[in-house]
Amino acid sequence: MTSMPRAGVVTPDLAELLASHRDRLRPPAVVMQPARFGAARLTRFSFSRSLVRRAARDRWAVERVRFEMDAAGRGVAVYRVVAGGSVFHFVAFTTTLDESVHTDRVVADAWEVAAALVEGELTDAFLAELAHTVPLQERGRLDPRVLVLTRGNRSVRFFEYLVDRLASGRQPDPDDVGDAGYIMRSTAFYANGKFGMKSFLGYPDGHPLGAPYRAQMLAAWLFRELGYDSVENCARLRGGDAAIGFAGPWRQFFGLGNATGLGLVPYFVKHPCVVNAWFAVRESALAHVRSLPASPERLATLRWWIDRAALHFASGDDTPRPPWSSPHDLANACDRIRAALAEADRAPLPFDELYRWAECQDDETCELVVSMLIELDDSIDDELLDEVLRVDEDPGVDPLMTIGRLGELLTDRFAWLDELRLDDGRAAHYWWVISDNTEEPRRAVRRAIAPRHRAVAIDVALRLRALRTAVEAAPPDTAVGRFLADHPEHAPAVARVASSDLPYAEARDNVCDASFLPLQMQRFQLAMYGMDNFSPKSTDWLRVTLYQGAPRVADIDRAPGDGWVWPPRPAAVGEATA
Amino acid sequence: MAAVVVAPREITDLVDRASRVFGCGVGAAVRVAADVCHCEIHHGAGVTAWLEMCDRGVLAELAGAARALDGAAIDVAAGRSGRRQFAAPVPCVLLSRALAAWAQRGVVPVDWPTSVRGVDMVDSIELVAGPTPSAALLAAAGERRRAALEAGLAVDSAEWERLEAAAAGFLLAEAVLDAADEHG
Repeated sequence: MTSMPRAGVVTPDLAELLASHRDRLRPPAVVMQPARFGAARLTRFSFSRSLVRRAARDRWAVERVRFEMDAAGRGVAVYRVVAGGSVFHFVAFTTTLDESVHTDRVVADAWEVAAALVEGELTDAFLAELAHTVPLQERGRLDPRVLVLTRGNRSVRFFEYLVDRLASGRQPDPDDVGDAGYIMRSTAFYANGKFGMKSFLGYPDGHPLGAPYRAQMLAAWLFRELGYDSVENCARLRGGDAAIGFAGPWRQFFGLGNATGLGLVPYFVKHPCVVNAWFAVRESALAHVRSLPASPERLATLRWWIDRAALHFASGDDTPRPPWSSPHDLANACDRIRAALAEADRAPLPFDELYRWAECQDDETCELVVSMLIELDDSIDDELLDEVLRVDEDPGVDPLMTIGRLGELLTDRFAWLDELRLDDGRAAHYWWVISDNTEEPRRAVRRAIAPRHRAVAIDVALRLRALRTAVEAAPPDTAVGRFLADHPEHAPAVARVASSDLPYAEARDNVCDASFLPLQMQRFQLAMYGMDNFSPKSTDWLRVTLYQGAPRVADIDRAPGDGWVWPPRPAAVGEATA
Repeated sequence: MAAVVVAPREITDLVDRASRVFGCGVGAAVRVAADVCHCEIHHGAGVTAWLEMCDRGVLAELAGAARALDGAAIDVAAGRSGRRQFAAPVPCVLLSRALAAWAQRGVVPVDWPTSVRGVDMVDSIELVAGPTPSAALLAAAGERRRAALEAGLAVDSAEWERLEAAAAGFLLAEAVLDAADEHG
């Protein structure tokens, strides 16, 4: 009998990528610090950007095939997508709610927009089914024809303002738009088997939405389109011949808003293999770019991104964003980055030089530089990106491994646990729980509410510490399988050790500590989705914007590349007509 | 029977939560949830068997007993005898996934039926060194899994409602959480 090789947790390509840049990779001790990854920004690997590139490259055809809305914006809209030989429909049911009912939380009883992305042809019978179940959201029951379920509300501040402007033949006034980067704001994109929808791993090979989060990103892109179409339709019905459509840069300035809560924290902790892949592609690309010599094209590209970011941040509003930098602080950071590049651009490895400067700056500046440097990467194309982000999430525990070996791995790979002060009384201040209100994750103070059987097992740091103590007390030649038969409570921690050969799988953090800041794990994931404009509203939730500046569906065949990212707020334009 | 089509992950998620309510710790609940999902995909009657154990109040006890299978398999891997007599009969739902995993390591049960369901009860088990599953068997198992992920699994509606109700006991009332937050 032999020990079976571990399941392919790291795909060969991901492992090769990391190995090929071994000398220049940033160590996990740096990358996985919460303050560092909590300063991440979008990159060319972000899911929204890879979706747009894919849609453009493969010439996806998007058509609005049904739009029955009244002057208040109530009705039904259907968008048909033909992608890679497959047909999808984004079906949205809209209504209006009193402003007092609007909420940013995932939890609510009613929404102005309830929508689904479905695969295949849309018959009248299926549409009727969706009309019944989709507005129910979590209380409805779907089937594998449905890929994504989402919902949201209009921006209370801006929807009516924009309708009024267009209805009276005027484009928006930039001074009135302020920090509004969106028309509608979503709160959730359920998928992957939830409520009976199709499982992600059930997508066949070659499926056009077979990359992680591609289905959700397609739904979000069409949700954003719905916002534009709704405003223009309301304006047309109210303004008649005087009405115009969005023109010039306003045609694609607005993105889709999103409000994000604590649900991203359990996701980050429960999916170490996924998280590792997300970090690994970024770190591999950064290491590659740092090894590149200067070329006029590369320097010009990097300067373009610095200027683009500077203009974007400088033209937005400047509300404080604690614990993060305000937009104008970021614009100032761009000025410093530009100056640092001017100093570095004659060095043999100017991008490495710039990074070394950046790592001596604050976390936000450093990660802004990282994002812009990754724009230069030419080592990971979109095919490879899709491939390496599909990971096997079952690392498998070798039951024949000895406790002695397990202890060695704990010592070698989890020394960072000692930096978390896990013996401090504050280390177990919180426990994580799921609320009975639409199953939203929450954290509870342990001395206020006893966990009993309800604790969500994301207390990884505490569990690893407990495992370490148990392992020290067990005979070293005991097989792990036998140890777990006697101590099943340690199974989650042993599974973490099993995946510990993945360098970027574990945040150096304790989610139960009194000082734990959820915003940091949230921001990294949101950046990976392609969101920006991070606006924290508490320690636990924030608002963001997705697809701001992105091409509209009608423009996708013009191969836009990535130049739409970080759009500046449009300057005032005249009474342009559409 | 009236059936509801569910995704495999829904079975895992609900059984995990509900097993906690019925006395399993974190690690045991995760294992039971994976067992039930695997059984529904490959053998059927996984949820039925899980509900029967809950009805009898023996879920945590039998989940613990079933883990003895790993000890037996490790004994076989070390060249020793791999027989275990369970104190009380254990349903196949708690054994079939582990048996499939051990089979891939060349540890197989003696006199094991070619077809089992989750509710079938087992008094004892004997494991020996044996051949790993054929490529055809592995391909068939892979196809069952793929089909379940693509089209979902049909589960008895009444049983599904019972499982959902049981899993709801894992949740905490929003009002309790809000009240605790308000009082600092």
